[in-house]
Amino acid sequence: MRSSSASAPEASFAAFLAESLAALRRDGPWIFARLCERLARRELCIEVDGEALGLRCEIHDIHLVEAPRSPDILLRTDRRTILDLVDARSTLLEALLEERLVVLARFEDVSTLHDAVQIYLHGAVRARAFPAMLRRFRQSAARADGAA
Amino acid sequence: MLPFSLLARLDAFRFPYAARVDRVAHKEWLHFCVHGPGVDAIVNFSVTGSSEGAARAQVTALVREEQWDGDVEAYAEEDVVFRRDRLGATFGKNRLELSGERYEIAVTLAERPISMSLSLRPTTLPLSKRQFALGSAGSLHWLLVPRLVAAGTIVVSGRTHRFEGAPAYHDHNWGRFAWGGDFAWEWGYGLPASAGAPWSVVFSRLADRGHHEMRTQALLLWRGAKLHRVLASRDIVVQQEGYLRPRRVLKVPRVMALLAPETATDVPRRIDIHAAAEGDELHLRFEAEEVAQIILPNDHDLGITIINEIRGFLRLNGVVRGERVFMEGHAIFERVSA
Repeated sequence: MRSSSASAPEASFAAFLAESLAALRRDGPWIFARLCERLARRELCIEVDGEALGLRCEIHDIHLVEAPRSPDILLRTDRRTILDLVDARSTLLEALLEERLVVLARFEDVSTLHDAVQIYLHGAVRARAFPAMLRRFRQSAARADGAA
Repeated sequence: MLPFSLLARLDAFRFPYAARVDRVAHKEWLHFCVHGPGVDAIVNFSVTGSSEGAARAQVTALVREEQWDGDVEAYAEEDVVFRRDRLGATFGKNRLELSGERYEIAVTLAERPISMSLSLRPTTLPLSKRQFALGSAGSLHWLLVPRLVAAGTIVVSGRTHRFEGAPAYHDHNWGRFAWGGDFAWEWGYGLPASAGAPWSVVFSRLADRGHHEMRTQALLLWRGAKLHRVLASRDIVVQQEGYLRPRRVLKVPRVMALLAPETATDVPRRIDIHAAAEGDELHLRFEAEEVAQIILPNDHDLGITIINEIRGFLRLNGVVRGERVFMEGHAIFERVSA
């Protein structure tokens, strides 16, 4: 098991997610607590550009783990789609309809995931570490595009 | 000739001089609007304190050709430099300076194909209003230069707009308060389309967060460089009609569209302001045309505060001190919504 502050290759999505969760825990502990509470007792599998990772969510913490085989929630997307959403070139609905963003879960867990993403975003726009992290994420996306 | 030394004394960043303890809730922004032929622009340099005492600096640039484009870009404290001798700052590669008789502004957004180089010369005297009470939420100070003439260049997606003599507006706000508190404002200005017209007008109104209870309002009229008439709260009746229903709303920072995706707004389609006292009478009509939204996270809860920047057309009629008042032209109204 990796903790959310564990290091990973810089360009990996796992590294970005670990750094962002650590920033939320540090800069917005009450928001991080709300995120944990919302996702508690669930395992998520997140696949970004083919890189799969797991999140094991407890009532007071979130751990990055190996991708689970039977997650409660599977979210599959790519860096370009994430940036299209961040830069408002695409809406969540458009990304879902175009299957650039795929969510597989029971109905109530889809709702849970939406709430959790909203809480994560509220934390992200308040945390001072995020602008620099987003710049690095853009660079990694550009490198991934260049390599493709 | 305007006394620019007065402006230089009044219009300076407060944040660098605020005591460390006061920086926590400090908020400050310098706001400029320019109406060139075929293009409108809003530029805002803002700095916000934090519990660590460090500054969070942002540049907002909104440009309208057929529709609004733009973004908000954030800068870390190490990328922000304030001049000590006069108003001046660099936020990343963006620069704002009061140099001699002019505000000089250079902005290039990193993530949008927008840049501008502006030189703005005040043609009205500044007005300083101290200590607007924001209920229990804090207080706000306001320095206003309602009319300037702008020259410069705005480039949007490779399209270049060059202009001289364009009407412009500037204000500078600072104070200590929390976004999400029990306050909201409506504020707007009108500048004549004709450079020879002497009139310019500003309206401001503070209310509770839901806009249910008006706390203070004023209609201010300038004739040439000087403030000519102020009509205050009890002399003003405001009527609003309809709602603007845009098909698309630019929201900045763009990521905030994920938190507030709706295009429905509480922006009135028309605002009529009637003010009368002591034989003077003014009627202002503002017709809203298009809105962009600056969206801020609340400081103490997971809510947001929306600042609607509403471009429209304004007509002002009336009689003040026996003289007929008439002007029509460019206007931007701002409405804070929950």
